[in-house]
Amino acid sequence: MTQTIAGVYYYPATSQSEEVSLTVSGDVFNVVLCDKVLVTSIQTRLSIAARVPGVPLEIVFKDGGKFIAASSKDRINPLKSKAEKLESSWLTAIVCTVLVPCFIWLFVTVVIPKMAEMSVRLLPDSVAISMGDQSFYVIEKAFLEETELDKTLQESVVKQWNMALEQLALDKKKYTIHFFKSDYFGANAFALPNGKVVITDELLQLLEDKPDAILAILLHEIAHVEYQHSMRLVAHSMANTIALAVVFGDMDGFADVFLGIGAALWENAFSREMESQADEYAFKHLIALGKSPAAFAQAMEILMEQRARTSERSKNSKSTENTVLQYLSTHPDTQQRIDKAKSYQ
Amino acid sequence: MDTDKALDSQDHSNAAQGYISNNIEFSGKASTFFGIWIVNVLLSIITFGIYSAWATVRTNNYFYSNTKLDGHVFSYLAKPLQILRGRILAIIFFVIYALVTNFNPVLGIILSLLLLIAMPWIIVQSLRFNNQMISYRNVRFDFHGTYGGAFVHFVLLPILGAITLYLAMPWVLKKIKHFVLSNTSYGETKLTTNLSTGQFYKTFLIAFLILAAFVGVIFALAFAATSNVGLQFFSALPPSTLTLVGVAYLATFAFMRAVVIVQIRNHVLANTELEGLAKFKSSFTIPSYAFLEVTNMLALICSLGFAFPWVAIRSARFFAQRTQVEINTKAANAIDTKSRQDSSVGSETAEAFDLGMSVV
Repeated sequence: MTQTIAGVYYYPATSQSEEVSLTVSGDVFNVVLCDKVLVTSIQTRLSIAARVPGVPLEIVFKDGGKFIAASSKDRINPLKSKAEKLESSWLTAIVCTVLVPCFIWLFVTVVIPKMAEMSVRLLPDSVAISMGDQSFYVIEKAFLEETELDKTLQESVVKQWNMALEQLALDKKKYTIHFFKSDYFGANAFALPNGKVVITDELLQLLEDKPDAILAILLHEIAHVEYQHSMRLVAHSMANTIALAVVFGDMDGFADVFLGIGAALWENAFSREMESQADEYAFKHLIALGKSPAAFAQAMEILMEQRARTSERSKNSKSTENTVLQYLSTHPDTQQRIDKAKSYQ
Repeated sequence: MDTDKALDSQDHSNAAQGYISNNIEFSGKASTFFGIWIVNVLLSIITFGIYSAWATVRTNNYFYSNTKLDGHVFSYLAKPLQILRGRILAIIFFVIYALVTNFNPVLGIILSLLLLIAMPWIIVQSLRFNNQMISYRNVRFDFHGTYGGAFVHFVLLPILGAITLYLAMPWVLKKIKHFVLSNTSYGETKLTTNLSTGQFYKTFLIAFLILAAFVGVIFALAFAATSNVGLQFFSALPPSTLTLVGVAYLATFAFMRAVVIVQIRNHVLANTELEGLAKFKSSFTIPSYAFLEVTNMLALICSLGFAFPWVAIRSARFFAQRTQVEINTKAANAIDTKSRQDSSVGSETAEAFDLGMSVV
């Protein structure tokens, strides 16, 4: 059976062209110009390019001559590649439209986090230490000032800290406590992956006469280090970036929107999970130290009160030096955490 | 100089020399492309990105083959494996780079310097690949820029632009455009380009004035409302007003971007030609381009990205409809590339691979 397709033939190595017809019978291809055969070839000596819906058939001959079909509908029977069949079916399009968001969701919430978790386990401790050292250097230079606390308060906190480390059998060389004044962080405390725990003057002043509450917060920070939370966050954001480049790199606007939403939601969930994990750790170890988890609730309540007061004040006086308590804003659902601490057995 | 008059007389002389004006036609359809795209996205995801090389080739096939000039379509010739090879290399580097910069910033700086040295090579390689993979009338495009030239234009000049507080930047951008275009050829005919530095400065000055006017208006309004100057004003605004300011800013920014892109493109195309073969003209207008960009962005956001095929197709149509090419038909019919052995089946580009760097 012979098939005839209209198109243009381009001679090799020149822009010269003719309007021709291509006849295909079996595996013999002929380019015909007004009943005269210009080129004849067998299928194994030519390449059929571009089998994409809406793209005209292109045949490149061994010598570089090329035939391009006039209509994008013509195909050499019955040759429609598998990909082209999928791409031109409406059913597949609908199925894919449903599946794509599902798969992206699966990637963002399961595959990427799993990969990140696995890679964190593979990282040696020295990486966490050097990362902590380097970021501490930057944070200190940029946001921290020398403490203005009085020596006795500092000493009592350090004493308590050392006692807690000893009783909980934590590495004293790894975990160190540091006092700084910080306008940027306000009343806050944070831990770096190398075991450095920083607590600000502003926070200590609030909790000055409540050593157990201070201890509760310090334990919460230690938990972040013990569970490698910041390493896991870094690993996760890296895994995300890499996945974005590797898997979704070629999808332009699409991936940005979808992956962005997915990653943001996941990261929120993850950080909430990390916080409650750290809270639980604090509760458990407060009990181990012979204290009550209610100390944690107390710390939270004081912070919440303080926040209410400062936001009230900044509303009234329109003052720009609003010391919104950052500690709370990065840790949502404070009331829930307080209730949990109070009911912890 | 009276440009209209100059163009007019040019038109007449063009006709005399055998030039015929053609519009670029684009026949892609959003519905067809949606089918191609969504299948490719799914396959790319479930193959962990490997299929994306095939996806790129199929997408480019669709767009080039649906672009027609003077009765002939363009062809995209790259093979998926060439793209995959470059992509694997890029990803290996990217992973190393991400690990190093996160965990050892000092080593990261050294790696960045190495990247800076490699950058011109990567750019040249990409431009060469991307040009060689496009053919029109069975004749390929090509890029002839050298490492040295790319180093000067993509590393040294931008540094110069930055240290002059961006005062030299319009000139630098002109030099970069000139470098890329004058090293691009169709078959053996190189593009010749004659860009005006003044035009670049004028364009960026207008863009700057638009931004300045926006900032001025906002602060004037702020002053009128509260009679105090400074950023505190914004913290006191209700969210609805703040949103309004945000939208106004985005609109201004879109308009500014449109001014730059439209002016530069129109200028560049009007002053570039394939000698003896073709002259170009771009008739973009600022409002229509700004409208295109803004509606594209809104469509992408509102559809969670699913409007991408529609956006891509209508953008391609917009570009095609506003680009005219005057072709010297006689010359175009007889381009000879025998000396270059321009065979599409040949393996002369087997070593070429795409490094996915897009410039210009």
